[in-house]
Amino acid sequence: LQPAATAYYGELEEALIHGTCTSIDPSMIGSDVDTECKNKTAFSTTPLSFNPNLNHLREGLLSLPPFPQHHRERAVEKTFNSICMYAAAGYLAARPPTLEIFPSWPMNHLQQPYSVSTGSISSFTGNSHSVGSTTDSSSGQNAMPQAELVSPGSMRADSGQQQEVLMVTVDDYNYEEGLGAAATTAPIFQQHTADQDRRKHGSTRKEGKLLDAKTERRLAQNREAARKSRLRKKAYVQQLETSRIRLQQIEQELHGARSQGLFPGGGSASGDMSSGAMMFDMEYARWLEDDSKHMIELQGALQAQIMDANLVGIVEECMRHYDELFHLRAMLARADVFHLMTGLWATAAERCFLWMGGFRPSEIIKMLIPQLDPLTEQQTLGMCNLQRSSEQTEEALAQGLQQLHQSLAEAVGTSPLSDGANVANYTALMALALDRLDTLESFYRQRVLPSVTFPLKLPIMQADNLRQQTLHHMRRLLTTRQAARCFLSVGEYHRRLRALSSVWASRPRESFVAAAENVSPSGTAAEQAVHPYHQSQFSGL
Amino acid sequence: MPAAATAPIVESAVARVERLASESAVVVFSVSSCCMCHAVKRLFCGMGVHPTVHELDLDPRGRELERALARLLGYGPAGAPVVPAVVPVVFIGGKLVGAMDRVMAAHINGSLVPLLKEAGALWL
Repeated sequence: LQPAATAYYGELEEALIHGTCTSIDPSMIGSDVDTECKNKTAFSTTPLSFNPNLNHLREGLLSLPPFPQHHRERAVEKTFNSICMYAAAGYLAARPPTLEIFPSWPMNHLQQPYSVSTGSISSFTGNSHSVGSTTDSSSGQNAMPQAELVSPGSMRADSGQQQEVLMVTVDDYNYEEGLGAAATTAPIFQQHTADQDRRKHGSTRKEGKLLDAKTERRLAQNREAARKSRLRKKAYVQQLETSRIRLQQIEQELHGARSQGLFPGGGSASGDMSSGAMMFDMEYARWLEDDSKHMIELQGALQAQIMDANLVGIVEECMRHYDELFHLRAMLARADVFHLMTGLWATAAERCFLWMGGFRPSEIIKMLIPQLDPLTEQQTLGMCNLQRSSEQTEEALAQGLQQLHQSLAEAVGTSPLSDGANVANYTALMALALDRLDTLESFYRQRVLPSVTFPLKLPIMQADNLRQQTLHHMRRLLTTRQAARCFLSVGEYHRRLRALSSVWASRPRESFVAAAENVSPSGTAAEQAVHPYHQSQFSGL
Repeated sequence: MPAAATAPIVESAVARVERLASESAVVVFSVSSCCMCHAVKRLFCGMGVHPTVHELDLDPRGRELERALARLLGYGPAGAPVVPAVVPVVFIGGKLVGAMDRVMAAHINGSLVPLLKEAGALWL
């Protein structure tokens, strides 16, 4: 039996070392040794994505066939340990941004490896066959660990000491320690199993004889060592956590700086930006800086209650500044319409409320009208008419864009030949394309892409035109002071959206300790099942 | 449009445009697949106006009409056969309003509605 398990573990280990992941089908890992060949074919290498496969790994480990104690102990210890080390190393090497080493190990599952390993170990001190027989059925494989935790009574039947080992195991390892255990080095792991062994033996002796002083001292030392290593693990996990958060913060800052164009040549992580897009991002960053200066000027001038000649100048400057923005956007629409439309130049919250690549004029007007009190009747009428005509135009533009979507969807979704090719032509072209990808690519670049991007910029540019017209007309309807308040409000609105985005981006990620503790209510049930003495303590309450 | 049986006087494209433009209160020269033409049609319908639409791609002399419109709009006479985005072109009360951006600007600054009322395309 052992070679199969060792081979299995060896393959696991190897796969992890080489940074590939294995999709282990637990149901195929039978205790039937003859399925060793099947086990080997169960491995398939897929692109690196550790999260689901750590689950598989865990499941694979948990559904081990029974082995003679000493072999199993060593095999389990050594391999599990090294696998976890490599898993951790693999995580750190391959996915630095997210140190999610143990992403999917909620409480109850986490405790299983330890309890299973020790439980299984102890189960073989006595009746290897009885436990082995329950796990021989492949259907019962994965149920085994749960059975061990949930119904210690069944274990009790096998050997009195087993249940105690289980309870001690669970008692000793809370979630954090369990986490840290796998990430730390071999000696500590072995130390704990050694501790458990000693404790197991010690507890049996408590029942009858007195402990001799030497054993007692040894036990105390072991407990002390165990406590120390637990603390070390806690510290290590804490360190990992803070590093992870720090890494995320740095990533955010980097991303923020890049999107503002402060990092030249920053081909963002989300793909390469066209030069037009990058240029716009840089100009836009500068525009934003100037915009905030204007806001400060406006605020200062408005607070000076007297009608300042300066205010007219500042308002004119604001208007001109917006015109400049629309000019930049028009250039971007010609260079890279997707960048403009999808709002990659904007922050997350702004992107959420994007309408055709920018703000929706009627919404801005709706927001501004109550802020402009008092308005003359004529002004009110003018503003309401402006809102209505803007809404109508927005609706028309949106429908134009929708019609464009439909015709483009047909063009892109069906035959690449734009003149309605028949099926035979299409098949021929596809056959050609399979052999000559460069042909297809150039076809797309020369024929399909322009037919998509060229018309797409039309509604977007008209939307910008609408925004510009609306702002200009509003300026004409209002007094200088009112116009100043408008510009201030609009600027403040967008500034708050940007602030919201940055607060959101730098929100503290919940530690996965806290997250996992909230995750599984079943964990508590499992806990209670193995802590009957806890329950009895509280039963009197 | 079939030529007269007796005297085949071929109307010049520009003349035809002007004739068509004055036949209704609101006339839109369009191309059926153009998205901006669709937008302008939706805009008028949304306002309760029912324009007369001439789809140039469905007209046998559509190309000529398009060139004539380009010239009316002020594009160079020696322009390429296909001027980018000439359509939609809107006439109200026989008078040229322009392309989409002009129509939009007129609507925003409030001059479109009086124009439509004057031409009898809008009541109320």
